[in-house]
Amino acid sequence: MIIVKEVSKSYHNGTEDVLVLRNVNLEIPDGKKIAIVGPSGSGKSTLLNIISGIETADSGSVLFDDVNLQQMSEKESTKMRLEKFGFIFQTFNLIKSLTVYDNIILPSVAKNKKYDKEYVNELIDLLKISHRKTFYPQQLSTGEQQRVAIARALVNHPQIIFADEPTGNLDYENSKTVMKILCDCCDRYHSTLLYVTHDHEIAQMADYKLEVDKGKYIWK
Amino acid sequence: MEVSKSPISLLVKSFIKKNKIFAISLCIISISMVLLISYAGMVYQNIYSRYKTAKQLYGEYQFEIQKLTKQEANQIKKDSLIDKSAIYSRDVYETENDDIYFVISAEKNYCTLSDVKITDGTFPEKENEILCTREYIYKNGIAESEYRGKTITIDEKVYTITGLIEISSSFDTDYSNLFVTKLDDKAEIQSILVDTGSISYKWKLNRLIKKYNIEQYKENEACSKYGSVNGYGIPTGISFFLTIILLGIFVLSVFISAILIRFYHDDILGNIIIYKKIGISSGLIDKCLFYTICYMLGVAVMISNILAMIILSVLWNYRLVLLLVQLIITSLFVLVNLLIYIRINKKSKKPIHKVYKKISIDSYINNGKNIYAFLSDSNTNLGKRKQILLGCLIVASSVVCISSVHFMNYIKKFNAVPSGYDYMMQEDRNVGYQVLDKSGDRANTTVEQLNIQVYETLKNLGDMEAVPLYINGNEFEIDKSNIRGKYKKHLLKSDSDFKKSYDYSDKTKVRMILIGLEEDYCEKFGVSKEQLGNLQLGDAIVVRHVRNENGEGFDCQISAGTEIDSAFHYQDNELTMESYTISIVDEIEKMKFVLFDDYNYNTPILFVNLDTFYKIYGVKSPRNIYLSMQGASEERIYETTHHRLGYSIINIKKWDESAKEMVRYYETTVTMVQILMIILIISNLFIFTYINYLQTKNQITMLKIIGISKNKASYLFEYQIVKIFLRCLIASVILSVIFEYFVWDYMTKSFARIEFSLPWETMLIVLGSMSAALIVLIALIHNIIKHENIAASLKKWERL
Repeated sequence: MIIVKEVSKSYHNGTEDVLVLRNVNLEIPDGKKIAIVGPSGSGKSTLLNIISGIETADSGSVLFDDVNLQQMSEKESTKMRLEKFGFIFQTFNLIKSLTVYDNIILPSVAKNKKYDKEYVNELIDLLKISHRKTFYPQQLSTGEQQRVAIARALVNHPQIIFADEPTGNLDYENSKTVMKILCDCCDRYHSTLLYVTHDHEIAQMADYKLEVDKGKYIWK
Repeated sequence: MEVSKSPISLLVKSFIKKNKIFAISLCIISISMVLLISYAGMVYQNIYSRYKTAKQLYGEYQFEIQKLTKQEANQIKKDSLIDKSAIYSRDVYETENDDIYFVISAEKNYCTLSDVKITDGTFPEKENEILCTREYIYKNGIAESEYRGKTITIDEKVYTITGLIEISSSFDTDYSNLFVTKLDDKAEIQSILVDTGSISYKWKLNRLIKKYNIEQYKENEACSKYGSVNGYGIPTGISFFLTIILLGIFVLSVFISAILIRFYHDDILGNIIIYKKIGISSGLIDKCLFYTICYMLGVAVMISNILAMIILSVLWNYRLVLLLVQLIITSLFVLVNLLIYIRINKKSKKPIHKVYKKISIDSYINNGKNIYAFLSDSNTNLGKRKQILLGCLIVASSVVCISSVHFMNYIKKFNAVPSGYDYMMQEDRNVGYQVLDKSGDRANTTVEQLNIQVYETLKNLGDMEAVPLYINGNEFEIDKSNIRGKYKKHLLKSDSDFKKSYDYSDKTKVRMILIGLEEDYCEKFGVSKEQLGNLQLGDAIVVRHVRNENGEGFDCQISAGTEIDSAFHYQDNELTMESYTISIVDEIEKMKFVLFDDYNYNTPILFVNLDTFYKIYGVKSPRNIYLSMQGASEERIYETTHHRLGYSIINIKKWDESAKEMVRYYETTVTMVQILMIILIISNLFIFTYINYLQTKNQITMLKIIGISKNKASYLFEYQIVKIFLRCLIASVILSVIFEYFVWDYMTKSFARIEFSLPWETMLIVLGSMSAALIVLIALIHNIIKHENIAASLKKWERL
């Protein structure tokens, strides 16, 4: 379980400070799919980044397995991301100079200097990209690229997958397909999925919805 | 099934593969290194060949170790530090006719290693055989075709002549009476001539000195001047300039590769951020980045060294020592680059709190600027620092290119003089004046009379021009207010006698050169017949320009109207301390005719007519005679130049050849520098435009998305490029002029007669060519932008 306690974050914009998150308190249950929805600029991605340890909050704490992510050193936080978290981004963030296969195995190789070939192949089959294994990201469609990103996020058996607008760059059909695959994978491998979206239909696929409205976070 | 795989290889692969900047960097670093190594190799080869030439001209040995026993000499001879050697001893005999004979008893290879060369016949194989000089057989009335078998008696021993020898002018004895015999066991004074076969012979000499506790040795100084050919070394300014060029190219190459590495680092920053996001440790990323840079430099080093070896082998015989040159340069190059990379990497980790200047579009519109100026200025991808870095490359390469082209003009000017004369005969009371005096009336003939005879004979030979130089230098007294400015500072600093006289008297003593002019030749020196004709007894024309051995050029500030007193006076060949006043009535800026030797350093030059010259010095014969012998036969030249009493001969023709060789050498070097610079400039322009394009690509895509036409969208890139390039051009012009001035200032320290000229023409050519190349590159990139698919650009646009 992730417990977010009194997290606040502001950005300095020219001469004024913009408060993005104000005393946010949340409890994210294990093994569930949670969608964070809300208008642009409401701090959804900032919250996701803080929970995942990519950004630090100005105040408050984020507890994961009773460990405060906010007090972790950069090294510990990086290790945590590699071993326990998986990430999916709107722009996929695949390494353009590596093949699909290499992109997928990368976190596993970085973690253990080895990878489970059968599991990787299983993921590739599951995500229906086995015919694209030797391709480079630019040679793929956007839907395929996001499926590669999902496979990469899952390769280390993460406890939580963080997805920032995972369907933001995809068309309607692709969005639904990709999200379905992502949700299926999380169910299959018992991973928690925390994703940010502004698409209400995509948000409906979650077990819980967390709506951000004027700085307040409301569970739905 | 678990499969092992190294994350390092995966990450390094991701940094290298499909990365255009990596490929460009690799190519450009390789090209720069090939050129750098080739240039250094060429410089080394040239130094080596000039060193070899110097050895051939001055004697094939580097030093002479003296005062040894025969046993010691034999021991040194076998030492592994020595490549070639010859043991010899020298004895002096007085003949019945009071002549002095010098007999060298030597090993056979003495004549191939020393200043003594066999020109005809063979080295003595028996103890009663001897070599003698051509002058000896001439003096004794023996025909050249009949000398073999003739005998010479020295110290009651009879020798048979087996060959003729020629002595270089640097030999310190009366060469006509020099003989060489086979080294015999009786020889007592042992010396050994040594050649280590290496340029680094001084280091070997020091080892020998320590090893054998050598007390007395003499270096062949000619070999210690790497550039010296025919007594004429590379002027300090030129060597300095070439060193600067080599260093400049090295720095520029390192600079280019450092900038490329910097941009490469920026380019893969996207990957690095992704790796960090997905949890790969910074340590692993750093390690992989370091390996990648090592890989890039390693491949570049390998490619460039192989190519450089091929180039050097094609141009010259590749020598193993060049491998050392290559290793030194590549090691330095790699080391400097790695250090720069480590610095860049360290710096990039520091949190940067960039505060971007808010730019309002209104301010542009209100000031009548266009939208592209606004977009260019707001392009945070290409900030001021990056612009400066890219601009520095352009400016540095153009400045070096302009300077190297302009430098060649100086070299040509410098080597165009002197004169077109073939020989210079110089009055020399020590060498050879007892030789060839067939009349036997030597005792009744003064040197002065002999010299007049020689000059009159030369003047009347008909098929040659003999330009006389009546020259002498001594201290003159002058009112101290007349010595001022830079020249005074120089004298106060470097001449303690001057300082003393300057401090304690109203008049100071300054050494000056007095040249007596004959009317027929005055214009050759830069003095018109009218100027010379206006001179009365005691009148002089001053040459304002003074140079010293350190190379600085001064205006002596002595002008018309000044009176100076000679501090001595000759009368009937006797020196008295009578004072003689000379009035300076006219002045010229510089001498047209360049004096061949060094005695005009530090001294103002005064021209007087022959009567004044004679009045002061009592000498009617010229000190130097310049000979032009166009079309004369070899025999005629030999006869004229070798049989003149009281004069030694300097072969200007040879000197001229070496000067031409020097021009050729510089032309080759400078051409090499220019080719190198052209390639570097094109590389720089390519880096400049392509990186500009990469950094502006996203903005261009954005313009295209919002509906601006492809042509108009590319204006952003063109505006940006042209803006930076124009600034670079202005900086190049200013820096070139400044740099050129310093080069000239330094060079004129060695040869003062070159006027400073602004390199307008060169600048026009270089900067014009650069602009043309830039237009071509812009057109190419414009074409890329025009044909780029918006969707593809969008896909590539990674928002991180």
